[in-house]
Amino acid sequence: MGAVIGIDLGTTFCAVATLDETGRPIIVHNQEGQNITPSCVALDGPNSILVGEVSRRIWTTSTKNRAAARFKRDMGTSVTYQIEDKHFTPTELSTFVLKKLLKDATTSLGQIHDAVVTIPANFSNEAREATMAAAKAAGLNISYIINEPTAAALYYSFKSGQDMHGNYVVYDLGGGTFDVSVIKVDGQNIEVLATNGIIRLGGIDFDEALQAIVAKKFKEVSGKELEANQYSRGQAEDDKKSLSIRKSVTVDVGFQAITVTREEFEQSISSRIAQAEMLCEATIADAKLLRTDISEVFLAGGSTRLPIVRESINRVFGMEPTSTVNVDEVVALGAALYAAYKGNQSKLTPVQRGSVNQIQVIESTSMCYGTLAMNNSGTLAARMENSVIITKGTRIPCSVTEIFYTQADGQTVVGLEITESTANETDPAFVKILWRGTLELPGGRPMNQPISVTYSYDENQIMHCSFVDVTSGRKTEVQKSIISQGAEGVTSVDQFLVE
Amino acid sequence: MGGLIGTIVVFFVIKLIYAAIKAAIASSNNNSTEVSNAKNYQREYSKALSDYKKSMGLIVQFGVFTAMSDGAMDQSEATVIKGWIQKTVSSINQDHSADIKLILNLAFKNAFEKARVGELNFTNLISELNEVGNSTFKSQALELAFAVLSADGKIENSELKVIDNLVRGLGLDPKEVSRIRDQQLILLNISTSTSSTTESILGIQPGWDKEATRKHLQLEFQKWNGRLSTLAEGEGRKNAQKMLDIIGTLRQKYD
Repeated sequence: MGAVIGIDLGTTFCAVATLDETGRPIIVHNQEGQNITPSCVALDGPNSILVGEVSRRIWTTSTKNRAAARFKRDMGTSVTYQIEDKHFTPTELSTFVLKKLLKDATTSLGQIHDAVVTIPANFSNEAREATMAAAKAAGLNISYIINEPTAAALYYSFKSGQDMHGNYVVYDLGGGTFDVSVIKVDGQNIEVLATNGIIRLGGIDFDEALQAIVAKKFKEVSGKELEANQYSRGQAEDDKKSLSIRKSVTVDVGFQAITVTREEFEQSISSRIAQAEMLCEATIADAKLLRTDISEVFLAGGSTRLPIVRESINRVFGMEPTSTVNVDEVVALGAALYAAYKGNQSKLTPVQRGSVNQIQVIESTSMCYGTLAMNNSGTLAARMENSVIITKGTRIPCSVTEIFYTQADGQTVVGLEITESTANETDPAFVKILWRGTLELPGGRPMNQPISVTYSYDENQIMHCSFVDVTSGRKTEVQKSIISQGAEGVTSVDQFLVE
Repeated sequence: MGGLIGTIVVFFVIKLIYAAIKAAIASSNNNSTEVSNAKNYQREYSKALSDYKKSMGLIVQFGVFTAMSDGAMDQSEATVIKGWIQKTVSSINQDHSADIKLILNLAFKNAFEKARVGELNFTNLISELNEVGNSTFKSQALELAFAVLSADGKIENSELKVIDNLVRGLGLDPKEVSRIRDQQLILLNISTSTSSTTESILGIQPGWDKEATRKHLQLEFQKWNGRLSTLAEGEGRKNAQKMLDIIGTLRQKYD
C-alpha cells in the first residue's frame, strides 16, 4: 500500500513524518535513529555526498569550505555554496538533503506514494519553484507544498481532537525564517486569514549576534581580532541554547575566558525581536481582528524556546504561548496530515482515511500579484507603476478582473507583465517580474481602448492570466504555475550518493 | 525620464514643422487664422524649450547647493552631478544637445563659485523652478538632491535640511517624495546606530507623539520587509535589512 510523508525542509534541521496505522501522524526516524536531520551537506571524497549529523560536525568545526549549511534562505537565488573545490546551488544542496530523507523514509516505511514539502509562508515564487524542483529531482512524488504555519495549525487542530473553534495564531520561528499566521479553526476546517513572514530572521541570526558579542569582548581584553576557529558557529549555537536555561555562559577563547550574560545576548537581538512583534501586529490587522480575538498562540520552530521570544509573544498577544508538542516536529507532523488529505486517499487504510477526509484547508495568497501600467492620474507626470490585481491574503481560489486602457492613438501592441510583491507595492523597482509578453492590437484606433486583465488563482496554486482587448476580442493567455512543474533543477545526483 | 523629455522636445519640433507647412499653405491661400495658429505653435515651442533649458540649469544648481550644504563638495558628489549632466545631454534631441551641455556645464561652474562664497540663494532657486518647472522637473531636482546626499555614503543633517526645504518649497507630492527617497535609501550605507538624522531619513517628524511615530514605524517596517523579499542579493538587500534593524531599534525607543 505504501506510505505518505510530510517533510519539513528546515534551514538548520529537517523532519519527516507519516501517518501510523491508527491515522495518527508520527515522526519517522532517520538512519541514525534521530527525529531530526541537520540540513547540512559535505563531500566525502570527490564524488560522494554526506548529509546529516556527520556533515554538521564538519561544518561547525571547519573554517574552510568543507561543508554547506543554511542554504534554504537562498533558494531561488543565484547564490552558490562552495564545498571543497565544487560549487552548488541551494536547489542542488536541497536535493541532496531530500534524497537522504527519502532514502531513510523508504527504508523505514517502504514505498512512498505521496509526499508534501513545507515552505515558509513568505517564500517568493522562485523559492517555491526551486523547492519543487529539488523535491522532484530527489525522486519525490510531490504535487503540493504547504506553508509551514498552516501545517503546524493542522497538527494542533488534529491533536485537539477537532475541539478547536476560534481564531488562533501560529508563531513559527525556526533556524532561518520567521512566519506568523492567523488562522480560523472550526474542528478540522482551517482557514488562513492572514500570513506574513520575515525571510531572514531565525536562529542563525541569533548565533551570529552571540559570535559578535564574543568577538567584541575578546578584542577588548586581548587587543586581537577573534579568529573564526576560536569560536565556531556550532559553539555559538550551543551557547545560545544554554542561555535559554542559564543566566550566563563563559566561553574559553584562546587564553581568555569570556562571559556573556543572557541580558547582553537578549539586548543584541532585541531589534530583531521588535521586528517580529511588528510583524505579528501587522498580521492581526491584516486578518481584521484585534489581539483580544485570538484564542491561543501556537509555537513552531526551535527558536521559540528562547525566553525573550516567549516574553515578546506575551507582550504582543497578552497570553502565554502554547507548545504542547515538540516545536521541532510540529510542522512535519502537520505536513503528513496534509499529504494524506491531498494525495491519493484510496492508498490509505480506512482508519487513516477517517483521520483526514474531514479536513478542509482554505489557504490565502501569500503574495500580491499585479501588472505594470502607466499612471496618468493626479498631479504626477505619467509614470509606470505596479498595479496590484490580486492582493495578499485573498482566499484561494479567486478571480479578479481589472480594466486598463491603451495610451496612444494607433497603438498596436501592449507590453504585458505579471508581477509579484510581498506588500501592496506601486514602485516597479521593488516588484519581481514573473512573466513578460505582448498583446497585439488592431491599428487605426484612438487611445483609451479598454484592455481587460483577469488573474485567477486556483487551489493548486496555478495562476491563469488573460489579457483581452475588449473591442476586438484579441487576447493573450498565460498559465503561470506558482509551483512550477518544469523548473530547472539537478537531473541526477546518483553519482554522489553514499551507499 | 530623459527619454520622456526628449520625446516632448521632438513632439514640439514636429508640431513646429507641421505648423510651418500649414502656414505656408495658409499663406498661399491668404488664410490669416491658420497663419496665426502657426505662430502660436512656434511661440509655445520656443517657450517649452526655454523653460526646459532653464529648469535643467536650476536642477544642477540644486545639486550643487545640496553638495555644498555641509561647507564643501566631495569628489563623489561632483561625480554624481557630472553623471546627471551627461545623462541629460545624451537623452536630448541631437539638435539641442550641444546647447544643453553648454548651459548645464556653465550652471555647474557658476553655482559652485557662488556657493563657495555663500551667494547661491536657495529661495531664489525655488522661486525660479516654481515659475518655469513642471512636476517632472521638480521630481528630478529632488532625485538629484538625494543622489548627491547618497554620494559620499554619509548623511549630514545639513543635507537632510536641504531635502526637507526643497520638498516644501516645490510643493512636491508626499507619495512622490517617498518613492524617490526609498529608491535612494537602498543605495545608502546607513549606520545602524539611531539618531535624529536616522529618524529624519525614515520620515519621522519632530513634532509627532509616540503613537504617531509607532504607526509610522509600523508602515515603514511593512514596506521594507516586503521589499527585502524582492531585492536581489547585494548592497540593496543589505541596506534594506539595515533599514529593518533601524526600525526595530526605534520601535523599542518608542515602546
